[in-house]
Amino acid sequence: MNKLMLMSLVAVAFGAANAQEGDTTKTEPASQGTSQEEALTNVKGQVEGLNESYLETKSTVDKLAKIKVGGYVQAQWQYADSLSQASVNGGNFTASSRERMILRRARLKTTWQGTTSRFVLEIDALPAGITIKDVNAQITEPWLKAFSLTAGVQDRPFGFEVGYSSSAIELPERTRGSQVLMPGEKDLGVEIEFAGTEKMGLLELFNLKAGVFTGVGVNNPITTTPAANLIENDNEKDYIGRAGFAIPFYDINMAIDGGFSAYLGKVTNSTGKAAKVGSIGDTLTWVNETGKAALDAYDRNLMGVDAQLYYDIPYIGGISLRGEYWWGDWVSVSGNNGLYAFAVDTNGVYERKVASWYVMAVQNIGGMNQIAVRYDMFDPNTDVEGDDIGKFKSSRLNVNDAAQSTLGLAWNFFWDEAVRFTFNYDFNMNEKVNSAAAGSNAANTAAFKKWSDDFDNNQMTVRMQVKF
Amino acid sequence: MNKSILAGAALALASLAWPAQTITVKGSDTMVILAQRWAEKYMATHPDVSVQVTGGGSGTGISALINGSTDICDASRKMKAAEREKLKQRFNSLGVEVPSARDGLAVYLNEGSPVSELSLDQVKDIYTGKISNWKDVGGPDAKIVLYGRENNSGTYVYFRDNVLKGADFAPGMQSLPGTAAVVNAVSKDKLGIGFGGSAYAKGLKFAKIKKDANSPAYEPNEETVKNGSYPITRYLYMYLKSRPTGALKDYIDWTLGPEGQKIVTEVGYFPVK
Repeated sequence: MNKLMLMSLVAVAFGAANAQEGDTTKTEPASQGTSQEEALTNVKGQVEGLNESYLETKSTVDKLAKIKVGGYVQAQWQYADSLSQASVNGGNFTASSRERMILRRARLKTTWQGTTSRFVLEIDALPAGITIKDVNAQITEPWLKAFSLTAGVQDRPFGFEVGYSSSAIELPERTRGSQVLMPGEKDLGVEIEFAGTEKMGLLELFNLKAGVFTGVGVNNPITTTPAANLIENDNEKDYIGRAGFAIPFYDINMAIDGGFSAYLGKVTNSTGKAAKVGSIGDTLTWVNETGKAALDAYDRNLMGVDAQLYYDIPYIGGISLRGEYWWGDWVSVSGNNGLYAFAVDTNGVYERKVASWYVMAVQNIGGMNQIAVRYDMFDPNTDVEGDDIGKFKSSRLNVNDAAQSTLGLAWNFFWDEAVRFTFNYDFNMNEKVNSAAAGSNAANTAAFKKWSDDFDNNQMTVRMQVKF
Repeated sequence: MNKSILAGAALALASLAWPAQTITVKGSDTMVILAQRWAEKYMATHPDVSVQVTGGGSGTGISALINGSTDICDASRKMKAAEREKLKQRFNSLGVEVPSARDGLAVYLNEGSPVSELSLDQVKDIYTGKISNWKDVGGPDAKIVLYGRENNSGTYVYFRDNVLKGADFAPGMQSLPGTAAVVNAVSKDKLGIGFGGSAYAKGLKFAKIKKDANSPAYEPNEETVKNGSYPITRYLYMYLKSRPTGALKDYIDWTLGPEGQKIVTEVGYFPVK
């Protein structure tokens, strides 16, 4: 554009000069040389002016080029087996609905990228309101460009699935375990990252993320109010990290990646009440711990291993096989097995041993189609079997202690570089509980009866996503 | 009427049975001329295949490969690890890297410039702004005018990483939208200096480059690039999202074969074999 303007200007200037020359040649032949010089000087001046203007514009454009804006929208329709179905795929259905339209995400992400620093602001603009997702600042050391430090709201560096973008996941949602234990994926903290570079030899194959976080997170089911998201409310911190590797085999277009993760945290209990699974006589139940006081801190430690294999199958497309296993001690409450954060109105904490795992396969077929299948299992209380729950009326175990699993199938159709359609069906299964204790109270009676069999809670999702 | 419908249906069926293959190529501006020549020659002998070539820069080509809007990405630099990760997310594949030509990355000088050789350190100092006057490298007492590429260019990234050793370009450098524009600017500016593929040597001269102050200086040519005495050489790549099959494989094989590599030489680059 600038070149074109320059050429046009030069052409016009020369045209004007020549026209002038033509006129003066007839009347004042002696001044021909002077006119040409003047015209040339004019052109030079104009070119220099244009050049200055170009440099000024370039300076502005260069600044703007450091800002990148991206985002995506996910609109979907869902159909459930029953009214008021509990769901980790879009949230629970209301008492009067078994099908619904949802705007799942409407993300807008702005990134300013400097030479050694970066700023990210990502929001989610949904009908329920605008919420902040990523807000962080990052600096990278200028020598090796392998170490960086990020402060602010960011993904917890745990496992593989937590950091996998919602716009890229092949099934509509992350696994149940991931959603329960790391709700919303994000937390407020400071993280150091190492990513090996080409010049580091074998170190190129390794990466590390480790940080210290508030432990409150977002979408916390226990603090309940969005206003409480990410607001530090105790003196305890959670230390989270993942050491990973990524080994490429370029000759056969295969890669093996994996990692080991650790979540070492503590959380303050607002009450002096705490319970662990134990036996009272023959009855396996929640047993109140003694010697506890309000504002005591409780450990929550989670370990994880994950592995991914990528292979390009000739004539068909790339396939990936992935798996992840998390296990550890978790702190939650009686009515909810999710992440606990300090809250003034709880009935104390319940210390559970939890396990979560999944295996999945994703196969690309050509450039536009992709199929995915995943089986995931989340056991919120590995100390008890399904038969222990609801066995005795005196037991305080309930269906929040029962395991659930999902077999999810999905077909992704990539309409073009921006648009993706997802067709998904989830077969949800539950650990069957004992209904012998039904009648102990109304809530448990209904729940024990329902959970004594694999109840109907399958779900279908059709989604359209546009990403830019 | 019925006959026309029949004829139309037959034509539609025929086109379904023998579809014209289209191969899209996008990316490096450095490789645009080479890619166009390859496409022209290939299509001349393969009328059933259409090869569509566009530039935009290596970064643009890699983005297009990741979002599935091109079959082949031309790149004058290697894909970064972060770009590979995005390809893995979308296609479950590492991508396929095909070194398809070698290039001596030339430092352009105006034909009238009295300077004829520079060391790598001098080139670095000039482009980072440490040296800003020609007299410091044996030229006239005049300001050096820097021409370069935009940051979506693989040549820009390669030059920054390998010649400037990761340092930033001087803020006064004029970033131009293609190697041809850099050549044009330097050829018209006696005080100008530029960089780009050695295939674009029209109306200017190449600076002879020394590895260090005491080394001999070399111009980029087939011999010096092949034997490594010219210090700024690189591969030019084609990237694919997965292993090629059918017409795409045939085309890639052809570019790497004798005919394709002959065109590499004709265009001014150097064959990979």
